[in-house]
Amino acid sequence: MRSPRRLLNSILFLLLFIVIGLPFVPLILSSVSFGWQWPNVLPDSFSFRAWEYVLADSSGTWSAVGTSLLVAFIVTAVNLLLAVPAANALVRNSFRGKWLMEAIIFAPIVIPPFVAVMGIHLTFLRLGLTETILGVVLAHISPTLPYMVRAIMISYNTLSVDWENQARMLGAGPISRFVHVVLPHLLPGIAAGASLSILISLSQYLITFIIGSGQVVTLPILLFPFISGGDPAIASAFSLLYAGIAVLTLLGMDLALKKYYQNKKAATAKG
Amino acid sequence: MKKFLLIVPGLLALSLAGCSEESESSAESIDNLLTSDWQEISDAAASQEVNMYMWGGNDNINRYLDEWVAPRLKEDHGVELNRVPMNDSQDIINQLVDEKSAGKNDGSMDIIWINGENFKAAKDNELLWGDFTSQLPSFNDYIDQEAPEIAADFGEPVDGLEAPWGKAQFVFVHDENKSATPPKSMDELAVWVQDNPGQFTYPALPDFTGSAFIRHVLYETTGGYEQYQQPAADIDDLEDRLEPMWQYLNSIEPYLWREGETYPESLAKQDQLYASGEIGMTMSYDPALAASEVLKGRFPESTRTFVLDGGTLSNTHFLSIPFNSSAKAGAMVAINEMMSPEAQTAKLSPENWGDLSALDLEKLSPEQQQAMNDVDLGEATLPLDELENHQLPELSADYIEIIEKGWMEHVAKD
Amino acid sequence: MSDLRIINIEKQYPQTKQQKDPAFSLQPVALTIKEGEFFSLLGPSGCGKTTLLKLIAGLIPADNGEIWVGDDHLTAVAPEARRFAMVFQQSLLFPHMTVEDNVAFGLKMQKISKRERLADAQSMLEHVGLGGYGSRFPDELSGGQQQRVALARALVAKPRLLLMDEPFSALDPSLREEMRELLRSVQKEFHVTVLFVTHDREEAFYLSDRIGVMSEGRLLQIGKPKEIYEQPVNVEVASFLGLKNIIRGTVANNHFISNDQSFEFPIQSSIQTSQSVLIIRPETIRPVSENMVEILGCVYFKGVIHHKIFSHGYYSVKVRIGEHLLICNFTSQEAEKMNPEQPIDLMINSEDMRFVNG
Repeated sequence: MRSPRRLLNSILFLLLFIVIGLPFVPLILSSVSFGWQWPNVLPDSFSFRAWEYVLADSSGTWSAVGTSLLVAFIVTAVNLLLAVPAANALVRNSFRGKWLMEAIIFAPIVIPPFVAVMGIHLTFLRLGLTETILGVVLAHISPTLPYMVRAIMISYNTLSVDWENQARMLGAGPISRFVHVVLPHLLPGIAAGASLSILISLSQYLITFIIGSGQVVTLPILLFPFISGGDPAIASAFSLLYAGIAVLTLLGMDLALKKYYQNKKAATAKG
Repeated sequence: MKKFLLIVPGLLALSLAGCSEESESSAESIDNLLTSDWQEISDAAASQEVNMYMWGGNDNINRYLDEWVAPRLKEDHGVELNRVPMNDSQDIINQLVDEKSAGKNDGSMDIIWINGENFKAAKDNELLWGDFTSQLPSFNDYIDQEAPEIAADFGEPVDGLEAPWGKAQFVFVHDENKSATPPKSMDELAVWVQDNPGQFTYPALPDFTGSAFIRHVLYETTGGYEQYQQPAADIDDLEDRLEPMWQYLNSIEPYLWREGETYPESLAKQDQLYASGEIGMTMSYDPALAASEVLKGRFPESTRTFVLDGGTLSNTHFLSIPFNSSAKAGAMVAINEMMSPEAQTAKLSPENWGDLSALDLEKLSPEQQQAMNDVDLGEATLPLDELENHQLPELSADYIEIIEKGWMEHVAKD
Repeated sequence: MSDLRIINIEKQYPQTKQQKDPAFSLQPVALTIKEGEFFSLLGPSGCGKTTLLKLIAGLIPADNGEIWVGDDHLTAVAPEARRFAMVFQQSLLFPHMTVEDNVAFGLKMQKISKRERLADAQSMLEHVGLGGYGSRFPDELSGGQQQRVALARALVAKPRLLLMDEPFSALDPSLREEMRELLRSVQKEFHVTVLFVTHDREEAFYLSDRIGVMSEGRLLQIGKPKEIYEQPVNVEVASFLGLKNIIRGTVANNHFISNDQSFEFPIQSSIQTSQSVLIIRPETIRPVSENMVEILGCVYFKGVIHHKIFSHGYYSVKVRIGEHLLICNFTSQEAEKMNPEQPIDLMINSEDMRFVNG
């Protein structure tokens, strides 16, 4: 009974690993290849030239990683501030023109963001927002906010007003209600929305490029010229670094969330 | 939650403060720079931060600027060079057009790397600062200002708006192990292609290099370049004159890679095909690129370059200063430094970049000439004098447009 | 005394175009609930009892009227500042907190030190019979246990008023009885004022000091359980309380005549002509034995036994009188010899007969 199931599990795991891991194999090989002649399956020899370049101080990789993460986190924080009240309003109330509000918020999912960005570039120029982190953050909000709102709306849908009423009747004011009742319930949705927001912000090239005008250098700004410039080794190394940063960020968030829940349990276990 | 609320306006304030600081530096009387003497310019440049916007897709070029040019500028002139990577030089022009219409006079682009079409677009839209090259000592001392490839950029008069930084010359790249004697003319190439089916192709137009390849066909099959030195509109029977070119291209098509049913979409793709050994020949506007690709291990060691006996196209690439640069003095000093014999010699070395010098060898001191000749260009690169003796002028943009359209019609269609 | 005084609270819900709900309005309610009293609002679903409860809680703003506890005017006070507590139909325990933290929540909101509030929570949990459950999470408890925790959580902060909105209706019947017992004893022990909403008559009668019967947004009658059972003010109250033997007729010339004319007897002059419905409680009807002396003040009827059913220690006998089937509760002894289709004589003390408005 048991061993066939275990076998099945390991086969499934292996398949999953292959599906997720396999695309990375050629990336890794390409990033360290030195002479890779067709029709050879493996490179003739290896070199760390690409990695040396990517990790060198002068290439600005680390400051780009820092900028990418800074932008992604600020974008996500701002999204959170906007999305929680927006989701609350959209789920809890019915008002005139609600469909229009929803359409506006979710439009960036359907409309390619650069269409909007071309338009706001001139405005941002006049406002002095180009070439600033703030400008890039504002521009990143448009493609990321819909996902955040969507995720939090789903959480709000499952939160009956009774919970807040119950907390109210136990003497909880608006802030306490939000902190102790609403936030814990929204947390999974917030985590999902924040992950999407971070990933989407990290992957923006065109928006960052146009609004940042080269003064806000994120990882994709460094990566893209190499993809189109046809240096597969460096493009692969950058891609791997990018994937690594994204995975690490998500893992970090996951750990923080787990820690939060553990602290909750630990705190109660002590008392 | 509350902390975030505080952070957002804080950031706003910070970034706005950053903006206003930058605009202060542009307040200096910049137009004097076009008339003041070099010492004053050098003084004004000290401690300026100069942003150089350029294509960022080659690690050798990036490294040359970040690790060779920037530290020297910092040390010798106190100028901070900050390289900004771009995906496409066209983006530089688009951005400047927007900044111009928004009235942004404290731009952050101080040096831009352009030539050809982009220069023409920038000039037509008045995106460039002014005639600054005559102020640069390196320009006055080492450049042959009369040479046609310096005075005009793809047929467009330069007018001192941009300073020559390097030269490109079209070369063919082949693997010596696969073909010991490369073809030396278009006729010989046609034979070579038939003898080596599937081993040759060229990037589909409007790829820059693919288009250049066809211009060589044009020159060789229609009787030389001289006839095309006038505007295309002045030639009445242009279509008939181009006919032999289309015939040539269609005659080799069946022997191309994948029987000519498809062409690589870019030179990068074609280089990849060559690097992986699928085809036996590629081409480049950078005579030393093959050598540096060999150093990187991408191209096989037996890679060599060659030019046609009738010569190959050569053009110059330039550095310019946009109208709204906030650090024009710093930009001038940086450009002057990049045109110095030392910087040009270092740039020539395939270990750094392998880009041809923009300087006139005869204007250099014997030691400087010696240093340049001593640069090991690598086995794959032709000697400098052989390159120099086989240079042809570029066609102007109106011809290029006609050729690109014609190629779609006559060659790519069927 | 901190009695709860509800002065003419009212609420209108206009009929909306999109929603098909009919317009609903809660007629002005005036009510005083004494400190320590257990007061139930009894009525069918949709009668407005939950609305009234939420108005008192402050969760819905009232259109008019005032709410006082003792000398505190609470109408404009936010629900969280009223020092009330509420138990809902669902236990609504916060899933991310332990049972202990749930119970201590109200005290935490009052900024009571952690040690103190956890100690209070512990002792309250013991009162509801969940002494060792403090460190569990709500999803580890059964439905009944969850509702006990909810009760403990509501009581721990010593609320001035405990509002309960059908708190046991989601539980199965045996658990429901257990919970009633618990609630009754805890309420007496802590002397807490309770306003309890239910549609379950039995529950209301079992628990309440007084009951308010509601229907269609109106408070019809307030009184002790015995009062409203024996003296319902109208047919609506009577029928909602499940009273049997409701006979419609006319009152004229100190006589009552049922519509089918099978009942006709003299009545006291104090009874108005509008009080044209007669209610006879089944347990007030007695069979007449052959050699019994006629008692003054009793009314006598003749009928035919329809059938008899044994029920919890007595017999429920249906007697046909005219078009009516009169339900009578007889002792086993009385009903022993009765058989269907037998004629029977019945007597009722006229004081046990209740005449109400139709």
